Amino acid sequence: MIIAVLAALSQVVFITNMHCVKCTEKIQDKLAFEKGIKDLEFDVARKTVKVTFDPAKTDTARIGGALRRLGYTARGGEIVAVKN
Amino acid sequence: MRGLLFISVFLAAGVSAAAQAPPDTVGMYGEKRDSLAASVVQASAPGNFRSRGSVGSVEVITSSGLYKMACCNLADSFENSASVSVGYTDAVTGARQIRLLGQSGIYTQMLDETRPTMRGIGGIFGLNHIPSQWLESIKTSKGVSSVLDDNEAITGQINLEYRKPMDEKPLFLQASVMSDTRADLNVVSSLQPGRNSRLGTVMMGHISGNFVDFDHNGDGFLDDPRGLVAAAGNRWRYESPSGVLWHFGANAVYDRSRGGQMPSMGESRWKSSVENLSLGGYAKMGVPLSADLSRNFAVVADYTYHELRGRFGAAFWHAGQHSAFVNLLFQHYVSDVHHYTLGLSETFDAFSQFFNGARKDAILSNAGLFGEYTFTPSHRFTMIAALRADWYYCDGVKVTPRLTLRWEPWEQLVLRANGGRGLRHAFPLADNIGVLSTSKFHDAEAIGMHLLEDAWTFGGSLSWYLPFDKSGKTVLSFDYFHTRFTEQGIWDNSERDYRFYSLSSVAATGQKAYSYAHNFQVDLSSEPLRGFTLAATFRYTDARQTRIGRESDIKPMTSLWKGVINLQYATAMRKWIFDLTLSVNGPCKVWEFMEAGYKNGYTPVYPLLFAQVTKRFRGFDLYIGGENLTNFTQRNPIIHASDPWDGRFDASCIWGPLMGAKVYAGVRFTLWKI
Repeated sequence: MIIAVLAALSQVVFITNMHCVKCTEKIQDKLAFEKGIKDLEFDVARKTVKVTFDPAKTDTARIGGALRRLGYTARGGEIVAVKN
Repeated sequence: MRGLLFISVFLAAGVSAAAQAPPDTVGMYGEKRDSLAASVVQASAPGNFRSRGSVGSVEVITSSGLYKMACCNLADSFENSASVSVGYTDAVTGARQIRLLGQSGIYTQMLDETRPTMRGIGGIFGLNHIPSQWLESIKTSKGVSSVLDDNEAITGQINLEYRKPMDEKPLFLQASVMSDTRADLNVVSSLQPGRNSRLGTVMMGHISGNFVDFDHNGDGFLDDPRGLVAAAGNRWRYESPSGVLWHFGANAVYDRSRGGQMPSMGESRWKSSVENLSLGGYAKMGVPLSADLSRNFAVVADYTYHELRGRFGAAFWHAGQHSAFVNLLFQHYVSDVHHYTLGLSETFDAFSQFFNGARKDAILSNAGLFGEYTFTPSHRFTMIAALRADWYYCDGVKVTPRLTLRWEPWEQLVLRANGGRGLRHAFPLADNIGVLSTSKFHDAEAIGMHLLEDAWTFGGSLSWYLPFDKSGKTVLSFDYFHTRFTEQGIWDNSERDYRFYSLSSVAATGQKAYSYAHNFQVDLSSEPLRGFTLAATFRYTDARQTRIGRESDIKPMTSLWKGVINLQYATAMRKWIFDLTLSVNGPCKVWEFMEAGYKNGYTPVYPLLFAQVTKRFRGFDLYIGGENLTNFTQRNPIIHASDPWDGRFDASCIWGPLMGAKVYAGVRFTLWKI
């Protein structure tokens, strides 16, 4: 349990085609319950979603796939930070 | 950008011009809610906020705000607002009315996506007929706003934005039940045939009711009437390949309620029964007149029929109202600096009323010609100058000037000023149905009185975006508004008589005649920690009105002040949300004949506490909460409850809650389009 708490989290930024607050609502409602996703931050003007996730439980390909299944593009997808 | 502006024109841009300017991100451009100019870095939408970019002073309650409480209907939606207070008109019928800027809600123009709504008879129970779960946002504009949607706004406008036909939610379900057996069920479905469709529809259904009789205070009267509300709505949006945009829809509401003395009191008991039926339809068409969408034309047409059949003790009131509204608008964006709107409108109401067998029919109509000019020399300054001239059936020509200014001297400070005239016809019984829950109303002639109410409102606000918060979420705001009537309908209550007369008739007696209110409000909102938001508001009102033969000019039954604190904490990705709202309601002066029962003639200060916990799961939310957790209720809300057939019976003197603590539980299910 202690190991899980201390596990490093990763952050990835996807560039999407979202265009409104309703898009962020949809993405948050769906991605919040994807395994391993810990946090989401949206920037509508830049059309980006920053995803904080547990790399032991998911990876950028799965997260990008989840975005695409919602009908959004998901370009980028490179890890930008690692948080402890 | 002009495309978005075109949509705003189409939406009968009165509010969009004066109150909802570009940087707003919620509910502004119909389906495309955010301007691309708006940089939104967020994890969640705030529940209530002051619109930063609007030219006028606008407070927005978003869908998140509507989820903070049980919020079964529109009346419940203002519980965490200090600007808007909601109270029962009486202790019998369940009708509720808002107050804004120290004046009755009849002076606040209600708009359904910028079309005037809830007027006259439709306004009596209107707050109970609009399910909160159908709404996407509520925008309250203080002051006189735009002239494009008629000129009835005197203290402000409340614009209701509904869930949209193009929403990607094929199914939304909500159900809740309260400990007093009040229950409600809502279904909303937004459908479009395929992706990138030009056509969309939203279907909305609602049913709610109170199913058990309660008399907790032992006065022999039901605390809340038993009743049933059923409502349905269907809205469409279609954009043709040529760019012509259509919105059209229809709605229906049926409501019946039974109140009065408990059934156990026998057949001779004092009973009230009210049935409402409302049917309506509307169409809007927006036509681009130039390829760059700088010139546009829009037509808005709306029709509503409302019927009310009521029995109140020995009194019977049967009223019907046909209402029609037509608006023609031409808008020209000359440049980024100048744009103007010109238009014609017609508002028509035909009333038929039977009161205790006497028939009172009336036609109320005004046709207007208007123009509104917007000057934006820089993003830091906007001026909207508006003028309309209306010909009133029976009252001649009236001119309505209005001016709104927004100035941002530097990035952290926004100053606003607003002023102008408002006019509305009085509907004496509809404006104060509480009078029928007394045994003191004997003047049947009053209900047919023709009176055009006339007032001027001036005010402004200062919003300071505190510089130590980079997110811009810490805002301190100060508002001041003053409303002064030159003509007004006045209801005056005494021990054995409830009278209606005009402000000008006060002057005719040789007394000083005036009616005004000063309103001051301070708001602080902040997000000190991510996920933790705080909003605190304090409002002070000084409302004065002279009445025939009265010494005091303090307006009775108007609360002097109200404070509200709302705290919300949401965990990451809002899987758990905790809401707490505390309001403290200041005293109000009671009617003269009630003074013996109240210390210094004022009601006591009382607190109200609301709390809710929401747990979100994949696809659905569960929530539990409590209302009025301080369990405060107005003592003896019905005067002479023991003998309602006595000439002193009065159930209209309501200043506090009628029901004590209640708990509730509910579920929301959302299916997203994939």
